[in-house]
Order: sequence, then C-alpha cells, then structure tokens
Amino acid sequence: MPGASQITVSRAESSTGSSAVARSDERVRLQDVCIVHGRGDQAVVAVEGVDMHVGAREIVSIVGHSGCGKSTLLRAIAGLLPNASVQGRISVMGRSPDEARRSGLISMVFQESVLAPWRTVERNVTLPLEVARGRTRTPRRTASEQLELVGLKGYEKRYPKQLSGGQRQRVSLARALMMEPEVLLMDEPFGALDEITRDEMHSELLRIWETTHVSIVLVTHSLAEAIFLSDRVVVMSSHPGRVADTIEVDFPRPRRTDLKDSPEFSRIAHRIRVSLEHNR
Amino acid sequence: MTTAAAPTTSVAEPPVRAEIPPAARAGLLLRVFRITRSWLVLGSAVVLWQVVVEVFGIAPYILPAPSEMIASFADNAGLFLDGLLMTTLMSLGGFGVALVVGVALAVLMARSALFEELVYPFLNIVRVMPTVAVAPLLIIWFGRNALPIIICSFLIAVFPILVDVAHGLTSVDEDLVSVMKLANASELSILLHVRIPNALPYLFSSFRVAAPGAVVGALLGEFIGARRGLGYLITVYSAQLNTAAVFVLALLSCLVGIVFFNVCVWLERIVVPWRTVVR
Repeated sequence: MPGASQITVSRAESSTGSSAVARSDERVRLQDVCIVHGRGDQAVVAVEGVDMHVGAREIVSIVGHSGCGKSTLLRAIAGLLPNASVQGRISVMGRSPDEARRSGLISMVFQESVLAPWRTVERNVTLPLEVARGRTRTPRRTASEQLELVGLKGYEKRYPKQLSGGQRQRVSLARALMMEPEVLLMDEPFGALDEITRDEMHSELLRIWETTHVSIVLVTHSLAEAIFLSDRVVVMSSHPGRVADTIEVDFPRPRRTDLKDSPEFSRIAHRIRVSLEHNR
Repeated sequence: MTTAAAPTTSVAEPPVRAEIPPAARAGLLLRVFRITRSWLVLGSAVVLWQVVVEVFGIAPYILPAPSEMIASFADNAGLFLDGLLMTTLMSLGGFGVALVVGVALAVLMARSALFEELVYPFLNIVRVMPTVAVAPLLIIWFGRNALPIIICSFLIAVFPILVDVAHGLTSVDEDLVSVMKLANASELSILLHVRIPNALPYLFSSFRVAAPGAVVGALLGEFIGARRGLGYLITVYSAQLNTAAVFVLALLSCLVGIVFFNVCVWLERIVVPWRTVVR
C-alpha cells in the first residue's frame, strides 16, 4: 500500500484554532469540555479542556491510561451525565447530547453485552425500538436482517445464556444498530473477549460499518484495535484527562487483518506508545 | 440450566451407551433405587421408631409409636383435615398480602430515595419486633378471628419479599439502563421492561423463605388465639397430653410448609427459567 502509511500528528493546541469553522459533515464536536465529578471540596476534575471532532463515517478512537476519563467523556457525548457536571460545548449532529439522545441519534455498546437474559436474541435487538418514545420512522432492517448482518442468522430464538461472549457482543451491536444511530459510541466493546475472537470482531465491525453510515467513537485499551479500526486516534493524558495527541491513521479502506503486521502499523503503535509514556 | 444440558450435548456419551446394552436393565433398577432411596431411609426410620417404642415400652405421652399416630389421625381425620385447611388458607392469605404489600413497598423504595429514607427505619423496627410479642396485641385489637392470624403470617412473610425485590429492582446493570435511556425510554418503561423482569428471580428466591415463613406465622397466630386451625389444635391436644395427636398435627404443619416451598420452587422454574438466584 504505497503512500498509504502517512502519519500526520497534530498537537491538540493547534487543532483548537480551527474549531470555529464548523464542517457540514461533522457528527460530533467537543469544544473545551471539562467534566467535574462531585461538588465543593470533593469535586474532582475528570476531564479538562478537551477538543475533538468526529466527521461523517469516521471512526475515532480514544486511548489512554486507566482512569484518564475516556469512558466519562463517552458518557458525556451520550448525554448520560448530569448537565451540571459537564462544562464547555458538546454537539452531536448540531444538537446538545441530551437532545441527540432523545432523538435517538446515539447508540452505545459497552464492554459487557448487557443483554436482557429474559429476552430472546431477537427481542433483545428490538428492545430499544419497543421503548423509544416519539419515534416514527420504521427501521430499514428488521431484527432478523440486523442479526444476519452481524452474522447471527438463525439465532433469533436463542437466549443470551446460550451464546458465546463474542456472539453476545454481536447481539449487542445489532441492538445498537437497530436504532439506526448517526453516532455509535463503543466503550471497550471487545475488552472482555479473547484475542482471537477480538481480531475476528475487528474485521466484522469494519464489514458491518461499511454497510451503515454511522460514525464511531471507540474507547479502547488496545493500541492495535485503535489503529486498525480508526481514522484518528486521540491519546489522552491522566489527572485530569486532556488530549495529549491526535494521530491520523491514513490506511486505505477496506482494511485487512494482515495490516496489523505491517511495519507502518508498528510505527504508529510506537508513536502512540511514546505519547502515552510522556503523558502519564 | 446450562449445566443440566451439558451431558446430553457431549459427543462421547451416545457411543458409550450403545456399547453396553445388557447393563440397561441393571441401570434401570439402579435408577429406581436412586429415586426411592431417601424414602427407603425414611421408611426404615419409621420402622425403627415403632420397634424402639415397643421394645423399651416408652410411655405414649412421651413418645407415641407411629402406629398410634396413624390411629390418632384415623380417629380425628375430619377435625385434623379441617385444621389443615384452615392453616393453609390463613398461610395463603398472609402470603398473598405479603406479596402485594412487599412488592409495592419495594417498588416505592426503589423509585424514591426519599420514601426509602423515611420508611426504612420504621420498617426495620417492625422487622426486628418478635411476632410472638405482637400476636397477643393483634388478638386484643381484632378479636379471635382470621384477621390477626393473617397479619401474623403476613409479618413473617413480608420482609424477605420486600428486601429481595428491592434489591432486584436496584441491582440492574447500569449499562443496560443507559441503553434504555439512549432509546429515550421513560422511567416507567425502564421499570416495566428492565427493573421488574430483573427483580423476578429475586422475588421467587424470596418465596423460598417467605412461603414457609407464612405458614409459621399462621401457626403462631392460631397458637395464641384461634378456634380452628392446626396451631389451635396443637394447644388443645398438648394440654390433654395427647402426644400422638400433637405429633400428627406437627407433621401436618410440616406438610403445609413443604407443599408451599415446593410449589414456589416449581413456579420459579417455570416463570424465571433464565436465572435462579442462589442463596
């Protein structure tokens, strides 16, 4: 892949300057976002001065040490944090996270599949649609088609307990896509899987993503996962969480698994590792 | 469920079974023995009891022989079965009220932190208050009728249900709640679609304690002030030193408790097959 391996590194400060220019294909924008947990003397600043953007059909990963506030940041984008604890500006499709959440523009996948054990696979996938208030549009895909897309054709009537960890996470992904979100937030979605299953899920996620128009923000501990999947990797420092580095990953798509063995891939991984070292 | 299903899906088993058909008959006998052996032990114990009482000439008012108990039951079958029916009805009543009140309080406590804060200390006082001490008071207030008995039964049964259901409602995975919120689900939908199904295994698990508890409560109420029921009959026959009758009545009380317990376990398997809370 000649010419595909260019690594562009932009300092966080430099990207702040262009934040005033709103791009039309922008899905998510964070401007000077601070997140504070607790109040008064016990207040802890979890995240400080974060600027970030995610374009249409982009996959952006956030990596950082444990406790750097990357999961908190994801919850803030999802509109799941109390308004008082979030300062700065977060917009999802030009709306506040809360509005975006109410409009069903955001879906989320967690480290655990968090399926309802009392529901069949199919009824798990349709659960969000059943409870969605004020939703009028009918989904383009039925639950069966959605399950087929994630590679679980014929599993409709099974119960979560009868599936493997990887299969459960596929159901979780199908459930998230059933809402046809504009933005898919993934919080260490493959962290609980073994490495072989995880590799498989990486390719699967990209294959599924190709068929949708969703933008993905992915929080992960795995550098390989971040590089393989993303257009951009955001490196966060800890205490408080700040954006230390933003690394563009220009590998062309569709990407194949053997990309992970290429020297360019290793060079980017090294670059991120150094950045993490410097920003403990 | 999964562990029970595992042996049937194992690849090695069918050929092993096919190789040794002559052993099948012996296997059947062995299986019959396995199913009945606990009953065999029980039967032997009863026979031993009879023998011991006769050989050592133990006075019937101290330890009646099983044969005397059977005779006692045969003589008073109508009266005893009426007692059995009454106690069963009282226990069912107490249990039913405990179910409704326990679940309602648990939902309120799970939905409102203020309610929990205001009510929980009071509930704890009621909880540690011995029912034996309250029962005479209930009889002074409500008279010698069904009401105080049902209340006694209710008092013992309600707390396991309340505590377990409240736990079940609040122990929902927060990430699943987030999934619901991202679908713009109302609090009511989250309660109906997530919290309540999540609490069901806890509810049925609490029945294992609450159902036999309801029977104990009913017996206690009858013991202190009633004119019918197993508890009442026990007081009458023990005053007469009719030990054989007391034994029979105690066994009938056990029977009610065992039936209650097993019905609940059976219901649990049908209603919440996806999970059983291990206590």
